[in-house]
Amino acid sequence: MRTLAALALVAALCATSVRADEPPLRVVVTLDYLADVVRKIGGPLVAVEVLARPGEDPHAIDPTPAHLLALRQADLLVENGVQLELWTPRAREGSGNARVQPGQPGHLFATDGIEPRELPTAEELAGGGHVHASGNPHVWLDPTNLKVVASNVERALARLRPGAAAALEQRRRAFEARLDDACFGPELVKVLGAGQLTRLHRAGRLRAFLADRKYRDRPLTDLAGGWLKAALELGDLPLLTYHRTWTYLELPFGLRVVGTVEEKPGIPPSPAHLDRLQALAAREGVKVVVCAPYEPASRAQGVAERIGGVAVVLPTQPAEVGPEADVFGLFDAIFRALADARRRAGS
Amino acid sequence: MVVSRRVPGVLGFATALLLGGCAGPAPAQSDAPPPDDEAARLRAEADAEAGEAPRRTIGAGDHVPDECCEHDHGPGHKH
Repeated sequence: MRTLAALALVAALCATSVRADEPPLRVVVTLDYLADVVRKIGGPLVAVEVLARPGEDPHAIDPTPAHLLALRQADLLVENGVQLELWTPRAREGSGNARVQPGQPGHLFATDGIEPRELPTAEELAGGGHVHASGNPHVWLDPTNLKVVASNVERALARLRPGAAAALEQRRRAFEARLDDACFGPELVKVLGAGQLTRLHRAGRLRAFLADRKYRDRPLTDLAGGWLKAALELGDLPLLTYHRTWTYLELPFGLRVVGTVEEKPGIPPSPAHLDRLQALAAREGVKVVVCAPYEPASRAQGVAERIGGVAVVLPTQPAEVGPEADVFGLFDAIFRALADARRRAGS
Repeated sequence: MVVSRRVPGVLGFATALLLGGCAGPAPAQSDAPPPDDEAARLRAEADAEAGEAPRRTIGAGDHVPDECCEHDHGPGHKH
């Protein structure tokens, strides 16, 4: 009798397990960082295709027939959301694929649950320029937000493949732990806890918290590692950025962006704005101008020359670092480039 | 005879279950006990410092409706 019960249990488990010969889920993502997170969580369960090419402006992409074909065959479409990809509604409709429309199990806005920054005022909405009504959409540039993205991806994949839920959860937990260590350093995570660090980081209070506290007679800042340590080593480096792309990196890591080259979002600078920027840079001691690969580097370079500083192009997606780079390589490259710019500027 | 290929580990899991053991998922790092009293005090201070204010999160209602693709995008564009 016991043998029969054991056999019945094994049969039931096999019936709900994942078949190794099941075809992978076809996942289409808008941006490269999403592809990396989906691969890290989905593992062998997914085959991923990215719509935006490296260096392409994610705000403005013209859907091609190849995009529509990929979407037509997709089991899951993952978008950043927060009104970044204005081009996806047209592509979704053009695909004729009912599975990947919003509200369906085959569609995911990966940033659901993340607190948006820079919600515009009524004046800003009325004032022209490239204004995001739901707030700044470049949320993935705070690496701790990738934990929210990973959880959303885990849930979406588990809906489509319930039998793989345990494996998906295991990979998501491993990703989170690696991300916490890479962001704050393992020693600091062990003492303060990943949850506490993440909350302080998102509130923009982590650097101040670490600055005036000790652990076993060591300043807490000495325990910092990873990208936090890299940010601390930048000190109080003031920056000009071309667009408000780096908001989610700036506040949590304590970087100091004092102005933007664009006069208003999406609008190039006027001569009067350039004069104001030059005065601002002199007052604040700015020597570094930052832009993204898809923003006009020549304008950033022009401003850098005007203020006697340097321009630096920071990657926004792993593929802009290199074909093998992942989200960890992306943030490594961002902080490496900032440190290099600081050296070149003599700041 | 057709042999179904399954993900390795199913039989191991079943055996573990039969033997009465199932570890369950590992606890999240933030839930792990602090290593000592000094760390516990620092964690409590961190919790207080981060505050308990409710967070406004991005929800489905914040996403762009389909018709927004028809916006006039210049000069400078609004989402």
